[in-house]
Amino acid sequence: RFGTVTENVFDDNFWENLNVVINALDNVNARLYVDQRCLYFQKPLLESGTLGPKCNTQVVIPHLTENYGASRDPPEKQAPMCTVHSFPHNIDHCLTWARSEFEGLLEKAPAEVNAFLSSPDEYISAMRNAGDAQARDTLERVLECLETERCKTFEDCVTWARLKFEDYFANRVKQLTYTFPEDVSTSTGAPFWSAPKRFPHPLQFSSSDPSHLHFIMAASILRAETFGIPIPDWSTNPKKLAEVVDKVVVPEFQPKKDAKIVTDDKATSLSSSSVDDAAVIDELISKLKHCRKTLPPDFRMKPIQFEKDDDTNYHMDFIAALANMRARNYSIPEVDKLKAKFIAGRIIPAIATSTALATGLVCLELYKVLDGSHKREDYRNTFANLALPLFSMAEPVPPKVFKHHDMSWTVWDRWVLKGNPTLRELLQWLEDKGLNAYSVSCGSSLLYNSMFPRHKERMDKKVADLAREVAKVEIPPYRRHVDVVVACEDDEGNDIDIPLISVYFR
Amino acid sequence: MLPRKRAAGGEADEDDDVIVVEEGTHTANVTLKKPCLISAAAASSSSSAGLPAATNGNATVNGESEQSIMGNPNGGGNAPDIDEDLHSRQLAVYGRETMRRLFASNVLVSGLQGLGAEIAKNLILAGVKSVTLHDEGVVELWDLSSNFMFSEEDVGKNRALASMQKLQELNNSVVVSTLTTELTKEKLSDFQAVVFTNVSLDKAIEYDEYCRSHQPPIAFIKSEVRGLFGSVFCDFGPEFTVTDVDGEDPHTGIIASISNDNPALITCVDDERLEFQDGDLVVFSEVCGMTELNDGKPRKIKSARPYSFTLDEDTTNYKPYVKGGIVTQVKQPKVLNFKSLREGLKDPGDFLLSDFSKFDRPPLLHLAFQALDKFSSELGRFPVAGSEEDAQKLISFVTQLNDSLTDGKIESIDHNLLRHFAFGAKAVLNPMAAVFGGIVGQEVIKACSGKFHPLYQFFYFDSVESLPTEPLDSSDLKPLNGRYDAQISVFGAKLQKKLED
Repeated sequence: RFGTVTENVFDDNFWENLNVVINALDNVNARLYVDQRCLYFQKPLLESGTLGPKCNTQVVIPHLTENYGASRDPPEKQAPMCTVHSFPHNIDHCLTWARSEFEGLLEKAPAEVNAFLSSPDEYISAMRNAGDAQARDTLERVLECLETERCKTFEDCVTWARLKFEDYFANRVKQLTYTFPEDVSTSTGAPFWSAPKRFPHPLQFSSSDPSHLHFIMAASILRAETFGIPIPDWSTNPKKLAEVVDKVVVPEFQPKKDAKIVTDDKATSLSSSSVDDAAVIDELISKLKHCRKTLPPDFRMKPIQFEKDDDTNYHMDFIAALANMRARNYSIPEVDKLKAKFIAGRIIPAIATSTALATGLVCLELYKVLDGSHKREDYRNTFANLALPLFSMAEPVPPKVFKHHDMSWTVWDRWVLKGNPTLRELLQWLEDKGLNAYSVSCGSSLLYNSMFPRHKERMDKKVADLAREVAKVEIPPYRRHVDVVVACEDDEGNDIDIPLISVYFR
Repeated sequence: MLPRKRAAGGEADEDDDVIVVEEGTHTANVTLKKPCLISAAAASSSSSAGLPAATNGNATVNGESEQSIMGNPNGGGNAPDIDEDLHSRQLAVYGRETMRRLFASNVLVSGLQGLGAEIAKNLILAGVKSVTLHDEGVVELWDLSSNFMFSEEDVGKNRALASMQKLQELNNSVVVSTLTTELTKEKLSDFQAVVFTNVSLDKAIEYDEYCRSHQPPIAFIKSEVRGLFGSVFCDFGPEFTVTDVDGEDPHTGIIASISNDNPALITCVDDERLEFQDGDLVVFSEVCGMTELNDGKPRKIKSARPYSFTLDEDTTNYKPYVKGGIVTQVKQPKVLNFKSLREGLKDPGDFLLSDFSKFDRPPLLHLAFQALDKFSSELGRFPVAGSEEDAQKLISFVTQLNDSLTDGKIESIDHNLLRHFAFGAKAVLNPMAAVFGGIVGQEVIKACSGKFHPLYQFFYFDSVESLPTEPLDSSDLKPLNGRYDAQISVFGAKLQKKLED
C-alpha cells in the first residue's frame, strides 16, 4: 500500500535518493499521492495508464512541465440515489442497486449483528446517541436477522429468498405504482412518468421460470452462508428446489397510503426522519435485548465480502439475478452473468498490446530524463487507441505561472528564508513582499492562525522550534530546514497561492 | 442448472471439480491465481510441455495436448470454450466472439530479434491457437539488448529455438512451435496471419503476393525497428471485412419528442449528450404514438447534434408522437481493399501519423527503409554506427529513390535525420520493440478476428528526441563487446554509463 499510511517505510530518505519515478499504478488516488511527493522532492515522474486498447503516457519534469495533478479528468457521473432506488432506466442502475443490496443484506447486516452481540452495551448506547433515522433502520435490520427473519435451516433460507423476491420485485413495485399511478402528474402538470423514467410492472413468481429459480438458489445459498447453515446437495437441483419454494406461504400485500418515496434527484439519503425516531429506537433496543437472551452465547453471523472473480461462490449469480429481475420490472434489457460481472465488478479491461505500447513509450521518455538536459519541446506525452488506430503525441505543457507584484513562480518553486527566523520575522518578511499571511502550517499541523488569540503567544518563537513542538515533526540530523505552508492574502483580500517556504535554522 | 464452470461439450457426467495441475514440469500461466480446469482426459494424456523441441529444421509441435486445457477433451477441431476467469480482463475488451476466432487462429512470426519476441509474446498472451517462430539466424550479443528472453548462454543458438521455451511458458494453451529452415511460400498456407520482422523487400513482396492471392487471403504484416525508427505495413487482402470498427457499445438515446416533418427532427432527454454522427444508422423501439418507427428498420441520421438529430425520413404523415422511445445505433461492418506491398511501396496513400509536428517525416522514412534494404542487399551488412561513409551511401540511395518519384517527391531531404537512421540501423532497442510489438500484435488480432479497424496501411514512427542533447562522436558509438552494444551504438557509451550509475 502506498500513501500517507506508509510514510514510515517510504520516508524522506527513500524519496531523496531517487533519480526518477515511474508509475505503474491502478488508481487515481495513488497517482495523486505520488505526484505530491514528486512535487515536494522535485523528482521527475513518468506516468502512464491503459484502458482496453487505449493508453496514455505523461512526462512530468520539475520546473519544465505541469505536474500530474494540475489537470484532472472530470469526475465520473454517478446516478442520483432516487434513480438507483426507484427509477432505473438502464442496466447500470439495476447493477448498482444490486451491488448495494448485496452489501446491505450479506455484509453489513451480519456485521452489525456481530457488533451488537459482541459488545451489546456499547452498541446500544451508540445507537441511542445517534438517535436518527439511519440508526433506526440499522436496528430494524439487526432485529430482522435475529428474530423476525432468522434462519435455522436451509428451508428457512429458501423462505427468506422467496419473500425477498416478493418484496423487491412485486410489493415495492406495487407500492411505487400505487403512490405514483401511470397517469399522475407532477406539481407542474407534466406527466410524472415521462422519459427517462420507465413505468415498472410487478413480477409474478413462478418456480418454473429458470431465472426466478436462479434467484432463489443464489439468495438461499448466500443467506445460509451468513448463518453458518450447511448447504444441502439438493439446493442446486431445480426440481427439488422448486418443490421447497412452492411450499412457502407468501402473505398478501396491501400498498400503504402514506408511503414516503424519495423523488428528489439531489437527495443523498433514503432514510426519512420522523419525530418518533427516538421512541422507536428504544422499542427496538428492548426487543433486541430480549432476543439476545434466547440465543446461544457464542452465536455470530458470517459477513460475506463480495468477490467477483470466483465463479463458484454465487456472488455474481446473486447480483446478476437481482439486477436482471429488476430490469425485468422496468422492461430494461437484461445482461448475462459475464457482462454483469464486468459492470458490477468494475473490471478494467486490459490487454497486453496497449500495455506493451505504453511501456515502450515510457522507456523512450526515460532516455530523455536520464540525459538530463533536454528541453521541454523534446519530451512527448502520448494518447493512443489501438482500436482505431490513433496515435496522438504532443509536447508537455509548461507549469502555470503565478504572479504577484514583481515576483513570479510555479508550483515547483520554493521560497527560502534563512537565519533561523521567528514566526514574527517570517510574517514580516512576507508582509514586505505585499503578502498578508494569516495561517502557517507544517505537515498536517497548524502552527499559527490569525483567528486564534492564543497563537499570539507564539510570535516570538523560532519557526523551527514550533515545527518540532507543535507539529511534532521529526527532523533528520542532516536536514537544515523545515518546510511550511503559508496562506496569504494580498492587500485587496484576495487569496494568493504562494510556494512552500523552506525555513533554514542552520 | 447453473452454468457449470467450463462444461466441456455439455457433457453432464464430467467430473466438474477443479483440478490443479500438479506436474512439476510446467506451470499453466505464470500469473495465474485460480487453478485451471483440466478435463480428466487431458490430465492423463498431456505430455510435459517443457520439453525442448527436438529439431533439425522440422517444425516441432510442442504441447499439442494443451488444447484440452481449454475444456475440450476432443483436442482441437471444434471451437474450445473460453476460460472466462483467466481471460476476464481481455474478454471485457474483445467479447466472446472475437476470443473464439482468436482461439482458432494460427500465426507465423518470422524473425526473433526484439520485435519478433514482443509480437510473439503479445499473441501468446492473447491466446491464439498457435504461434510458429521462424528464424534461420543465431543469437548474437547485440540481440540481448532487445529480445528479453535471451541470456548470454544463448549466444550461438538458433534464435527461434532459444526463444521457444520462455514463450511457451507464458500460456500453455497456445501451441508454440519453431521453424529454423528456409520458409517456402507454400508453408504460409498453414496460417491465418503472417508477420515478418527481418526479411528482404524482394522476399517480402513475393510472400505478400502469395498471401493476398491465397483462398482465403492470408493477412500479411511487415514491420521493422531499426534504432529509434520503426515501420509497419499491413495487407489483409483485396477485400477484408471489419466486423466491429471501434469496439464501442452501440450508442443509444432516450427520446423526448419526434416531429412530423421531412426530414424528421428527433429530440432526446438532456441527461446525457448524444454520441451519434452524421450518416449513422439507427433503429427505434418503444415509441408510443408514432409507432411506424418501431419496425426495426435501420434509418440514416442526416445531421447529428448534442441533444437532437434529423432523420432521413419523411414522418409528415405518420401518427403523432406521444411519449417514450429509445433510439439505438446499428453498427455497420466495413469492407477495406488493401493494396499489395509492391503497389504500396510506389503509392503508399495516406500515412498514419503519430506526431502532428512531424507530419513531413513519414514520406522520408518510407524511402529510408527502402534505401536500407538496398544497402543491406548490396553490401551484405547494415551500416556501421558512426561511419560517415556508410551514412552518405544510405543518403545517396534515398536521393536516388526520391529522384525517381513522379508524384510526392520530397523537396528537401533531411540529411541529419538520415545519418541518425543509418547509425542506428543495426540496433534493435527494447523500448522500440515494445512499442511496435504492441502495435503489430494488435494488428494480428484485428486480422484474425475482424475486431477493430486495421492500420491502413503504412505507419512510421521515430523517437530521435530520445538521443542525448550533446552531439555524439563516432568513437562514442563503438561497441564494447557487451550485451548493451546495440544501445551504445545508438546512444553512445556516455549515456550507457549514466544508466548504470
